Amino acid sequence: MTIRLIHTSDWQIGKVFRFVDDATMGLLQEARLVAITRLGELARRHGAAHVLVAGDVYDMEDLAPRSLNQPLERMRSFPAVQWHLLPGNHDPYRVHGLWDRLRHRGIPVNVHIHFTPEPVVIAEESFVLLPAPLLRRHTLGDPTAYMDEVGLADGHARIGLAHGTVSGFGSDSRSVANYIAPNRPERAGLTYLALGDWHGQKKITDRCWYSGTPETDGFDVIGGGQALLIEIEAPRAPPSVTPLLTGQYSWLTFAAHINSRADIGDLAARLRALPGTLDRILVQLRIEGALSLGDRQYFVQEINEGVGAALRFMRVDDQGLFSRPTQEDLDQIDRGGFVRAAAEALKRQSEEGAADDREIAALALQRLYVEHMKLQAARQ
Amino acid sequence: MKLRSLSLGDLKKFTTPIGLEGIADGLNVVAGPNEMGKSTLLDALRAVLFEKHSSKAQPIVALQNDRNDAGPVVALAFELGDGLYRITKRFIRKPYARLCCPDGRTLEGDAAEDWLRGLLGFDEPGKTGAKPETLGMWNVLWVRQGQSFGAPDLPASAQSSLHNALESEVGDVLGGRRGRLLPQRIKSQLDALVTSGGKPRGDYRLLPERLQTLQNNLTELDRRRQELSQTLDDLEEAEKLLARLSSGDRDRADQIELDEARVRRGEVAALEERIQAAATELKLKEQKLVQAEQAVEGRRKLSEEIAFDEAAAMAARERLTEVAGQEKKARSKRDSLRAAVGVAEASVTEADALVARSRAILAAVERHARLQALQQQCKKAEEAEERQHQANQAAAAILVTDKAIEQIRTAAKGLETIVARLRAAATTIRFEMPPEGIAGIEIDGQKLSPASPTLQAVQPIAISIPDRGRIIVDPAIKDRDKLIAQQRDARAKLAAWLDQARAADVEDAERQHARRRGHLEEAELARQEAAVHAPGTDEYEAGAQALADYIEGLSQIHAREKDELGLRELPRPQEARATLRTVEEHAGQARHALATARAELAGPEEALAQMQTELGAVTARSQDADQLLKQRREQYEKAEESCPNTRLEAELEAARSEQMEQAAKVSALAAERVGETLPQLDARIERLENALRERREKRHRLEVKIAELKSRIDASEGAGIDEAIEQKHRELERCKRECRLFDREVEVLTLLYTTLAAAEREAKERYLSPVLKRVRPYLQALLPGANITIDEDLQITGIVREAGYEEAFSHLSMGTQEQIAVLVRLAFAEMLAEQGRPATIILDDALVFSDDRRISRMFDILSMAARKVQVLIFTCREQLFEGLGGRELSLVPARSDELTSA
Repeated sequence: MTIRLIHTSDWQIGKVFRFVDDATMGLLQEARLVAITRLGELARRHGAAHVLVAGDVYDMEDLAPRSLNQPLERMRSFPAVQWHLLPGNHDPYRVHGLWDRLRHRGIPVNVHIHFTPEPVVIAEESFVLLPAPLLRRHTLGDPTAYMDEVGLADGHARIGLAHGTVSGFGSDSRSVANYIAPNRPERAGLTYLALGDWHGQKKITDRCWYSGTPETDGFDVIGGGQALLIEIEAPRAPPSVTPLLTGQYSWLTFAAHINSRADIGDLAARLRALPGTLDRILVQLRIEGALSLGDRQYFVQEINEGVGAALRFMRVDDQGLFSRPTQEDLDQIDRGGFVRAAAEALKRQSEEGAADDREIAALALQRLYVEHMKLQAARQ
Repeated sequence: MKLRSLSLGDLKKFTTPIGLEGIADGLNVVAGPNEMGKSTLLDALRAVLFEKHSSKAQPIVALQNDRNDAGPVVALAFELGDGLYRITKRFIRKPYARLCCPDGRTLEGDAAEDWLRGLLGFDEPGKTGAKPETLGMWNVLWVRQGQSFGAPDLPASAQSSLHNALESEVGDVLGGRRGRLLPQRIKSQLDALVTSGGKPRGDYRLLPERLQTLQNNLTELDRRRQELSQTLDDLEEAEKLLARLSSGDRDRADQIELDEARVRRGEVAALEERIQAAATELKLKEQKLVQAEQAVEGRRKLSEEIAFDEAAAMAARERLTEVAGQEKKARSKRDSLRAAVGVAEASVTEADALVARSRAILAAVERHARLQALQQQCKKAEEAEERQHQANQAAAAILVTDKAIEQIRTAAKGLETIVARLRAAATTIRFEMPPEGIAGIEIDGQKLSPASPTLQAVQPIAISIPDRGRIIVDPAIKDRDKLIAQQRDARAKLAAWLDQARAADVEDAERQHARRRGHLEEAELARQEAAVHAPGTDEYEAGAQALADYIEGLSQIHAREKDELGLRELPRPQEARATLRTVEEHAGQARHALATARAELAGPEEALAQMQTELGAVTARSQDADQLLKQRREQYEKAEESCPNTRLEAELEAARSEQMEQAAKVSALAAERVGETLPQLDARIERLENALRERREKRHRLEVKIAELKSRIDASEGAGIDEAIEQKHRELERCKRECRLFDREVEVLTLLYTTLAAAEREAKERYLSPVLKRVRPYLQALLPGANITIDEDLQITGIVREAGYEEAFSHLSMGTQEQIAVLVRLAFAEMLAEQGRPATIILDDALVFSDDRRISRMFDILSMAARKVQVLIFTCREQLFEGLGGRELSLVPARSDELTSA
């Protein structure tokens, strides 16, 4: 009999996105809940009776009741699926803490909280689940170490469920918090070790994977928005591992060199041509180059205001984008008169002096250009 | 522009055509008295150039002559770059306008006026006529009477002309309207963010507060989070401890040990009780032994005491006998001494009685002697008093008292005075004749005595000389009759006093008075004598009678004394005294003998008293001893009767052996004590009980603590602190970002604005330089070293003096203001003229407030300016303006062909 499991982790329910606007944050938070439903549906579709959540169900320990209950209610709505939750570093198990409160309050019957490092035999599926819950945010000492000592059950697959990092920094991996030995499956005779903590999906070994978060939550996350379908034919055989798409939002990072109006057009076209619905895409743009005042204004209109409106969210890092006022720019402002003189002075300041002063001068010049243009537009 | 000629007709006071001819290029002066019509010329000039010929405006109507209603006509010839123009206008009646151009064209009506406006650059006047706004620059260059003070009024059109002129010279440095709007726009954006002092306002101002609030919220949330975390830790710890305490292993072990200890304690306690009982019995036996010993000892002591008491009773009796004998002896001795004292006392009493009698006799003797002396004194006093009495009677019989004699003497003296005056006035008649001759002579019938043949005549007297007849002498004395009358009165008064005093004459009165005084002195002497003999004392008054009464009293006392003493005859005083002395001596001796006897008695009496006391004591002691002995004997007898001595001894022996037996028992029991003592066991039991109880209580406390911690956790449930913290962090970051954006915006706007403002300021300075450049030489001439400041609207704002301080234009004196205003007008005109624009300066009655020095400088300046621009000056100060040196213009009759009014 094939054992089918869905491996997921790092739901981070209740996560707050500091840099986005309120509306976007609401959507991103909602998306993390929708991902649970998606996981339930995937389990149903693939005939997986168990979903293993490898830690960090919640983003923090003390959440408002609504935030606590939202995922539980989602899970409850899939009664045929057994959800195995593991306390992670964001939501470690503490006596009378988050998990105890949930247990006392009553959790859906299909939801199981594994807060003790003890094997749980899932008889009907012929596997033993070896959870390694975290009891504090940072544990020194491998929480999966105990798995080596747990006796073998005949004919049962041993499946580890843990939260931590497999890569140590430097030579002494023991100094890394929540360190998990990557060879734990071999040492403990595990068929599969379901890991959580890394938000990007990652295969460590044939028997050891990070599922990644089901909904990407950062520009630095690579391979997020996924889960894994684990299919085990025999306890000893390596499992079949299939990535499943769960996320709604894409978090993309672009870097571009912009030096002309044409470059701006190209960038805009490239962004507008991104696959999928644009308002499900969050973009981080890193722009370098130099533009005339007119083109800089055009950049703002075309990229910041234009493409920015099409995307769910766009963050533009234009620290590397410099103004390069042209003769034409200055003539646009005025061919003579004191305004022109002021523009010349600002241009000079933007080219010499301290970096910060130069930046302010450039911005002032840009502002002068914009305001002058506005006045001109008002006259026409 | 150069004005060349002006002529007018039927305009105000001028009904016949007149005009100004030959206006020169440079400086022209129209000088004349008031009401000469200078201002009318200026009005005509303005009308012909700037008013519409068809105008019905009030200033045009006012041009009409009061007496006729002809239409005023003005003709002006002026020269521009291209040649001479002539404009002629008639107003009100058949109005027309005609412009003859140098190219030969003649324009009529509105066309002429439109062309003129184009040439000279002013606006079409409205219905109310030309106004400063329509005149443009001309309003600045042509100054009417009374309008030259203060800064030139620059209407928008004038400013526009000047700006054009400036821009054509320095270019468009100001950047136009858009240029002027930009700094304003930036400023208003900056002002929306910060105050003029650079302090944030609006939302920007609220940001730090919001930031602080968020930070505070965050701190509070962190604190609560920390608290919750701590509570969770505490709870975990408490539950672990409780679990350990609740396992019961220790309790069970302690309970077993406790039970064992309690059993052992019961055994030890029973042994101790037995030992205690045996010890108590031993004490009892010991007490019995002591009692037996005491009984034997008591009997022995009693017999000893009896023996002692017997000896004591014997000794007391012996002593009693001895003391009684001594007392008897002492008493007899005392009694014999007491008898001797009685004899001595009797002899003293006798001697004292004799002394008393002798003293009484001596007193009687002395009283008798005193009586006799007093009686003699009394007799002498009585005699003296009798003499006093008689002398007083004799004095009383004489009436010439001291007062009477005084009155008589006064009266006599008065009479004597008058007589003396009469005698002095009297005529003295002296007879110097032999006595014979005198004989026979009679004076007033009285014969003249030959012994005193001198007469004093006061009254007429008749001297009869026998045989010869009579001589009548009548003395002529002044006031004779009055004197005579006074003499009579005095005499009568004297006679009256004498009569009252019963005196014959004055001598008699004197004699009687002397006698009276003698009596009175005698009486006084007698009184003094009586007082000597019978003076007043404490016992009686002064006077013989009082003394006599006292003597009588004494006599009676003396008689009683004599009776009491039984004496018939009194001894002599010396005898009496000798007797007293003798008996007093006897009495002294008797008293001495008594004192001696009494002294002898004192010792034996005291000895007797002591003896008697001792006797009492000895008697009592003897009796007591007897009594005690008796009692003891009875006691002994009774004791022996109830329990004989032999039995006592036997009982004592029995008690001793019992006590020894019991002591052995106690030692045997004590030897049974082995192992832990009772206090040790008690301590262990207490310790174990405490430990069990303490653990029980500790569990209870932990349960309470756990309940409390749980309740706190329950209470914090639902707060979602972590979520709130994250939210606050997000808000804080956004707020900080907002702050940074605002800061950046302010920095950018500030830099932009300051750069713009600096550029604008610099541009303005450059822009105004053409005006300033032209004003400066004039100003140097007027106020050496000074500089002028003009704003971009070409308004004079002030001057900078040589010392460097700036003065506002409005603060300058009227004269200086006018002078500077004229300079600026000159500069404007010069600039316009140099650019080929039409400009002429006309000043009507200007510079009247200038002092002599300034006016000559102004003349120099006007002359300088007139080299570049035509200047027309209208003045009523003909003489003063002669110094100006310009061409003097005067009114001359004009050609009437074009000026004839309709």
